[in-house]
This record gives sequence, structure tokens and C-alpha cells, in this order.
Amino acid sequence: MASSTQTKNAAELCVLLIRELYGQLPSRIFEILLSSGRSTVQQLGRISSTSLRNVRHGLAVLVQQNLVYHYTDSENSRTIYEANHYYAYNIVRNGKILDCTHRNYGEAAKRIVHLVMASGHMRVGSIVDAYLKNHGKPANNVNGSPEPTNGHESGDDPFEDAAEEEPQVSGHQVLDDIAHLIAIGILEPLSPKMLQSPEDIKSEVDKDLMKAYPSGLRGKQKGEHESRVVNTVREIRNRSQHLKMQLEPTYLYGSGAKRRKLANGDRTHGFSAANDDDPIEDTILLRVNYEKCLVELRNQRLCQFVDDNIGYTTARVYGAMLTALSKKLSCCQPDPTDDSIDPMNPPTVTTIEIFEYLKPSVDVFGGIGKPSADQINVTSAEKVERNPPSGDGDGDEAGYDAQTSIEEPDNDDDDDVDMEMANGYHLNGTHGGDDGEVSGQNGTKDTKVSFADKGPTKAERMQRMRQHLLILAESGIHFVRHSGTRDQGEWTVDFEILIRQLRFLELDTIIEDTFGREGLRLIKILRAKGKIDDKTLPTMALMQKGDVHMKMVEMELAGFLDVQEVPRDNNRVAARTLFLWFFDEHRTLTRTLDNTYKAMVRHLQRLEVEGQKKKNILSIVERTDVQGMEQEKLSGDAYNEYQQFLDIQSRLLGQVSKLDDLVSVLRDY
Amino acid sequence: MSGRGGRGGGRGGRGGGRGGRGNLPWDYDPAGVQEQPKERYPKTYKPPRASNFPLSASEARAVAYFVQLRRDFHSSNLYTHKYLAPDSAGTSSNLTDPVCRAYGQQQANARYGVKSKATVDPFLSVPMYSHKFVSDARTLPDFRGREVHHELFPEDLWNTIDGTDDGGKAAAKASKRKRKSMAVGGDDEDDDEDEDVVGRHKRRGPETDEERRRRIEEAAQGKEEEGDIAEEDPEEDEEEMSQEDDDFEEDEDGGDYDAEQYFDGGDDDYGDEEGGGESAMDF
Repeated sequence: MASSTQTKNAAELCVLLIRELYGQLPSRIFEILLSSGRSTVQQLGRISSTSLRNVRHGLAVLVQQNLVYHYTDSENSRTIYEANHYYAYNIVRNGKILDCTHRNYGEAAKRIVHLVMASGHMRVGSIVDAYLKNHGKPANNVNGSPEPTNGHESGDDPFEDAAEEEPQVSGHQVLDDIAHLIAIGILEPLSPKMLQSPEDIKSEVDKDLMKAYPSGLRGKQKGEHESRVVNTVREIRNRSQHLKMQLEPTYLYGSGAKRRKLANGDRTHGFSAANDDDPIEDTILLRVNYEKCLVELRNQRLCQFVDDNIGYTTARVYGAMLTALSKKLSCCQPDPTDDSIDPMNPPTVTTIEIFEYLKPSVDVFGGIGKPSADQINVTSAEKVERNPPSGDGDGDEAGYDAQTSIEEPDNDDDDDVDMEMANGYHLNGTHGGDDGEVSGQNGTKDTKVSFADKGPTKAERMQRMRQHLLILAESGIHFVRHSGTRDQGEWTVDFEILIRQLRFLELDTIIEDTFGREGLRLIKILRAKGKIDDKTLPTMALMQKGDVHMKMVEMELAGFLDVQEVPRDNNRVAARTLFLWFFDEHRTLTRTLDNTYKAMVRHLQRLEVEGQKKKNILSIVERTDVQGMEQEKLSGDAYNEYQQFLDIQSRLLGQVSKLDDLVSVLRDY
Repeated sequence: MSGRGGRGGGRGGRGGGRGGRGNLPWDYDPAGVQEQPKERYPKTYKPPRASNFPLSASEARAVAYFVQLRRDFHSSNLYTHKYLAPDSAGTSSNLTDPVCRAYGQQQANARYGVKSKATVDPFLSVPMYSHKFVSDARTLPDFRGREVHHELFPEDLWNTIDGTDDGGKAAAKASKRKRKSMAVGGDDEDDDEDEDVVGRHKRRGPETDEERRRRIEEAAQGKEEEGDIAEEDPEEDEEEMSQEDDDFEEDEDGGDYDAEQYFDGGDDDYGDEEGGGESAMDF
């Protein structure tokens, strides 16, 4: 997931992020862990030349915040610590994740995630306590519905005492929200094993299993052993998924009456039913699962992409589609070694499922023109592509190239349905035929009620939504693939291809900004054609020879292009040498990433300098009697100065998070 | 690029007159390339200005949430303050410049300053009313009063998260007190407890999961008890907290040659080694 090649800038960035959020001691220890690799406490103390006590305290904070892996060898009981730079980098996304959670799952969910984030990992019970302590006062209905709830009065709520003075929130509600977050995957149960680095787990399993072969491996046993190791490691990794799977039927699929009520802000009924058993034990430890959060952020980014390319309404429909689809995705870049995921058959969603997630406020009737019927080639529009387009080769530029797709008219194809079911993508199978069974953020019932009497019926609405999906499928950017016909159409997204295009888009923007349109044109030509001799390039680009050469040299010096010399004979004379220009995608990506890290580092350093400049005013603001009521307590000048600082800070942090958007696209999505 | 220059070759051709670079098939114009540092930024460089790209609503919210999260953590006990007043310690203020490079670990450490009696600012350390609003600059995270889960931490850190990690001072204190108690003949209950703490490190070796779990539970329970003790005597802990990093304290066990301890008779109470008068100097 995180790039294994850590650059100096990336390391510096991680250290600065930790310093910004968690303070100097952990960041110092982390810096040393990054520069010197796996170490014990004693080694860290020696390298850092600080007392062991400092080192231990720093490490304790890092463990608490999931920022280090540690592994205790059972033989010599020596503990080794290792930096977890994936988690460290993700600190920068915290704000975005909170925002995303707030938008998608409501205020309460955001508060819970905030609590867990602030303390690294947390027990369910203490989350509930802390939540009730901090946020008992304001009305915490998920969607802000103003009416008071009376659900929890029905009885045996174990947290009732704690929540007594705040009639709005009960512990049960909080537990319910937590369970929902676990089912989505934003929070994950934490076990001690998860704080060991993957390599350590693997070597431990390896050692364990080797006990079965005291005389060593030979021949066939080797392969057998390998596969057993891989399986055991995966089993360990999946152990934390059990709880999620238990909760999924209730909170994501199927009999989601409770959930639906909650999400609609209608609290009056659901809770008496929910009270009889706690969804989760309160001794379970939870932490934020950044992989899943990344999926949510990716959805947001892709929606933006559609918004830029097609239009607002279509983007909303696409958002609904991605939400439905991401229920079945746990991370952005699936592990290639995991053979339970078949790249040829990515998870799909049906039109009906998507419709559940479409917010009633979205007006699907806008955003599409009304061509007459004979202007539409229905066969082509309804084309079903069962297999993902071949991503390799030069698929990047050629969005419109012929795909290996089976064209077939839009009629129900039942054996296909069976195949899909057999593949087991629909884990719970609860959303069979009946629409009402499927639960979503906006209940089916509601949309039906609110729209039935005024104008478009649900069926019309869904049909119209389908048109939007067809537009998405038809565009050359592979937003959506129409992969089947069950339940009025099955849809999927080939993320790898789509993200690759997004990546090129970002790179193109950078190139255009730095080298102008000519530079971009040249690079696009190179990308489409591969390696090109410098004599043919000017004709192809329809540019002057001199201009082309100038640009090429400029871009080569910046590291975007490279040149290969192929001598035509033994004495490598320039006249008899072919100069082949080419664009190295991988290298450009890594270079751009590294530059982005550097930019982020500089922003954070700048933030520190600004903080130093305004040290006096900030020290006043941090006083406990001033905090929270700066406007009243500070004099006019001081307050203005404080406002200036806040402005600078939000610009700097905002820019850092914009740069992180770039990093996400180039690296993580 | 430059490596190609030396390869010679008879071609004068297109690049002729540019001396040395003639063997490249294209006109290489170094004008576009800055070989030497220039006075000003090149004209072509137009950095985008932040004010032209205001944050969108969702970005602004994300920043606000991040700041809120940061404030929450900074007000928790685990936060250690960034740079501890190096200027009050008399060093030049450019040490706080984050871009400033530190060469060697010693310089890097110097940037963080030390909080000890030696660095107290005599003009500000007199207790004032407004001090009660200012939170202490913390040099060490404080795990006491927090819910910690022993099973997630390696054993090395158990003392730390229990709040009983004092960098080996407990052991030193224990042995010293033992000596004193032999002289005075007091009881040595506390010593046993301290030794237990030390003993945890010694008892090592391969163990089963069962044993480990039991030990974790024991530690969790023990922590609660120790927490009680810690709450009874906050004064003493605070004193210890403030003296970390202090090089002058290292020879605490100096016996009769320890000048600071010279007038301490054998009748001292628990944890009162430093003398009462100085504790007023502590933060």
C-alpha cells in the first residue's frame, strides 16, 4: 500500500506531521526509527543520546497512536520497534476523513471517529463514556432532526445514568453508531497482532510451521509450506474482519429497519426494538481503518472528476453508485497476492441498489438533454461489457478504442445472474428481489412517499437515473462499466484503469503549468506512441524543429522525459545515432510524488515559523481562561493578529491537504 | 547530458559555433537553463497565489476538523511541547528555525532544550496568579489517569504506561533506602514493591500465550493499585517529572560525597530527597 521506497522528503514529512499533532518527543523517536530502521529501546537511546526513559515514553505514545510496529521475540524476549510510515502519513488526512465521515454518516459518526483518532485506539466502552461526557448537551440526531427522541426511555439502557441530564443521546445510540461505523469499516477492531509488522507476522508463522518439518523442506513440501504460510498470514489478517461481518447484515444489508430509521433522523420507533441486545461488547478495542477511509475519499475525488467532466447531476448519481459499490470494497488497491479477489470479476452493483443510495434531493431529471428517439443508438448505448477492458498497452490515451466486449441486446439474461451469485459477491444475499429489503441512507419508503403524489414515480426516477449511468458508461473515461443485465442492469467500476487516467490528468496539469501547452502536446504524443526518434517528432507535433528541441531539453532536465541513444554503427557518432525520446511513467510519478512531499514539508515548516513569529499572541490564546472566547478576552490589536495567524494557518494547512489530494491520486487510490 | 559532451566526433553541423556541444543533433540553447544562481526568480515562474484559490467549503471544514483534533490532542496529557524555550536557556533564537540543519545528534537534541532547574527563568518563575491558566510545558507524556491496554504494548513499556517509569531511579532509590533503613531500622515495604517492578524485567524467557495473558491481566490490576498510590502523593511525582533530562541529578546515589544530600539526615520521609525549599522552584 504505502510505497516501499521511502524518500528523505517523505520521512521528513512524517516526522513533521507527528510533531505537529503529537509533539516533539514522539517525533524525535520516530525520526530515529525511520533513519536507523528496526531498533530496540537501548539502541534508540544510544542513537538519540537521550535517556532511556525519554525513549520509552516516546515509544509509548507512538504505540498508543499506532505509529510503530513492535515485535517481541519469544526466545530472547527482546522487543524491536519499527516505524509505520503508512499510518504516519495518514495523519495529514485526518481532517479530510472527519469531513467525509460527517458528510456521509452524520455528525455523531464524525464525533466518534474524532474521539478514536485523538486517542489512537479506544475501547468501545470508553468511547461511549467520552462521547456522552463531551457531547451530551447538544441534540445529536444524526441528520439533525429537531424533534426530541423518546426511544431510550423504554428501559434497560445501561448508560442511562451517565446520560441523564442530556435526554438527547443515550449510550445505546452511540453504541449503535459505533456498530454502524464498524460495519462500514471506518473503525476496525484492533488486536495485538495488528501492531506487528507484516514481515514479522510472516516470519513467525513461517517458524511455527517449520516445526512440522524438523528435517527441513525438500521437493514438493516447499510449495506446500509456502501456501500454508500465506494462508495462515491471511487468516490472521482477516481475524479482525469477523466482527465487521457479523454486523454487516444488520447495518448494511438486509433487515436494516433500524438503520434506515436512524439515517432518516426518525428516532421515535427504532430504539425500543434495538434495546434488547447490545450490538457490540464494550471491551473491544477500536482504531481508525485508514484503508477504508481512503476508499471513501476516493469516491469523493471521483465524483469531483465526473462533475468536471460531465455534470453535477451525473456526479451525484455516480456518487450514489460509488457508495453502493464501496460497501463491497475494503481497500483501494487490493493485495495482488490475495487470490480471493478475482481481477476479472470485480464486485458489481445493480441499478436497484444504486437507487437506494440516491439522495431524494437529487433531481435526476436535470442534466441530460432530450434527443429524439431516433438519435440514440440503443444497442450501442445499452452495450454490456462483461470483461474489463485490457488495461495494458496504450489504453491510456485511447479511451475510444475498440474493446473486447460482447454486444448484446438488453434483455434479461438469467444464467448470468446465477453465475454472479455463485461468485459470492453478494455475501448476504438479502437483497434478492424485493426492493424494500435493501436498506440505504435514504429509505425506499420515504422516496416513494414524497414523490408518489407529485409527479415522477419511483420507476420513472430510477429509469432516469439509469440514463445517467449509461452516459457515464459511454464516456471514454471508463467511469462505469455496464457489466450485466440483472435487476435492470449491473454496474461496476474498473478502478485501476480509471485511476490511471486520473493520474495522467494530474500529471498533465502539472506539465502544462510548468512547460506550457507545447510541452504537454509533446508529452502526450510520446505517451501515445512510445519511443520516438527526434527527427520524426517535430513533424508529428506540427512544431518547429528548434522549438521542439528546446522544449524537450527543458523537460528532460526537469526529469519528465528521457532520451535513449541507439548508435547505428560502432563509432558512436552523433550523426549516426538515433535519439529516442520517451516518457517514463513510473519515474515521473515517483519524482512528482517526491516533489509533492517536499512541498508539504515546506508548508509545515512555514507553519512553524509563522507560529514562532506570533509566539506572544499564541501563548496568550493558549491560556485556559482565554481559550474558546478569544474575541472577548483579547484586545483589538491582539485579536486581529490572532485572526491573521488563523488565516495563514488555514491557508497553509489547506494547501497541504490539497497537495495530499495529489499524493492520494498518484500513489494511493 | 554532460557525459555526452566529451565523446568528440567530427560533426560540426547544425550546432556549429557553439563549441563543444556540436555533436548533439539539436540546438542546445542553455539560455533556458539556469546554470548559475540569479538575482531574481525567472520571469516565467509565476507561483499561484493562495488568495486566488480560496478553500472550498469542504476543504475549509477539513482544515477546521484537523485543527480541532490537534487542539484536543495538545490539551491531553500525551502531548509533549514542541520546542522548550531554547531562547530562555540562552541559546540563539535561530535554533527554533525549523529549516535550520542540525549536524549530529547533539545539535539536534539541543534544539529541543532542556527543562530543569538550570534553565528556569528567574523573572518568570515566581508564582503568579496568571500561572494557573497556563498549562505546563510538558517534556514527557503522562500516562497516569489514562486507560491503557497492556496487551497492545510490549513489556518494555509497561512501566511507562503505568506511570512508574522513572528511568531506573526507583531501583537506585530502593537500594539507597534499604541502606538507610538498615541503619535506622525502619520497615521496608516500599522496597519490596519497587523490587517487584524491577523484577518484572528479569523474569524472562519463552512463555505461552496463557501465561502472557495472565501477566497482562495482573499488570492491568496492578496498575489500578499503583494509580491509587500515585494519586495520594502527586507532589512527589511532579517533582520527578520536572527533573527528567537533568544531568545534575545523575549522581544521586553519591553517598556522603553528594553535596546536595549532605545535610539530609537518615530521617527523611518518602521521596523527600531534594529538600523542601527547592520544590518551589519547580514548574
